[in-house]
Amino acid sequence: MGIEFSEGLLLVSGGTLLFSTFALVHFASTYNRHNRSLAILSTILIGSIGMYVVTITTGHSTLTSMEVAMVSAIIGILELLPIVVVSVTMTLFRISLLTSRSVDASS
Amino acid sequence: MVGDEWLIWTSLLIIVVGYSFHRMGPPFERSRFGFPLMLLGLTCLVLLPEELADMESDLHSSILRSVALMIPLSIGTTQILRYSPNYGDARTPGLASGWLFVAISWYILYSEKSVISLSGITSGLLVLSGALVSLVAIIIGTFLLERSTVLKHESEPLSNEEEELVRAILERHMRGDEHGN
Repeated sequence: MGIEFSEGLLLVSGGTLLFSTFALVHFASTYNRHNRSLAILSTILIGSIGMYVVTITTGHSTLTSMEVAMVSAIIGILELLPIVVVSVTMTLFRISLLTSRSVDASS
Repeated sequence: MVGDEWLIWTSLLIIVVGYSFHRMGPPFERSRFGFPLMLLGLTCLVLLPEELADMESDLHSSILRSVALMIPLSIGTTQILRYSPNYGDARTPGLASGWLFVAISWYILYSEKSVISLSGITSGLLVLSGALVSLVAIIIGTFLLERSTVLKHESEPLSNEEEELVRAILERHMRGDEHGN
């Protein structure tokens, strides 16, 4: 039932890898002539560390390890959706049923 | 990868690219393609993959469950915000339809009881902590790099005409119009 250390490490480094991949794709997609693109260096660095840890943890090739880590990370994030549903519902309940004050442009 | 695994990863990539385009905002031409790209990626992700390996099959079914949960929740949230007394014209039928959609998402959530588990939530929190570590590292790295970068050129001072223009604009805003507004 519990999560082993290696599995936990895979999930944490998968999260690191997922976020740095997202950031790299974001930087590439939003590139424009005003960009100074300094953040890309630290993104590549942290992504490389994540990939190294994932490869060591799984013991597979780099591509397979990356695949395993990314799949685990995405599934892990989707597991949190019930919490999102609960918190959104509570906020909507407060907004629509418990408050009747209208918010005008100056407030 | 021998089946449709590439389709899953390509669709996810298209969604992220579409999101990035969308976030660039109206000053950039490519922002117009953001939402259509996200929709295209989501459609490909949900409809096209058929032959998948074990890992991607789990990922695909997990994504399908999440999409089925999030679509009614998003519609309901939009409806409730539009028709709630705080943010729009309060209309009971609109609010009721919004709550109906939220109730549908709760029904979907409860119909799959295996979705909620302590180990699942722990996994999610571990992934989030990894993403947070990455975010903090990127912020610190960017901060250090920007601090160590010297400015190449200092801006030229304003010309007389520009000074006049700025003064006129400021005076107009500080005095207000002839009605005192």
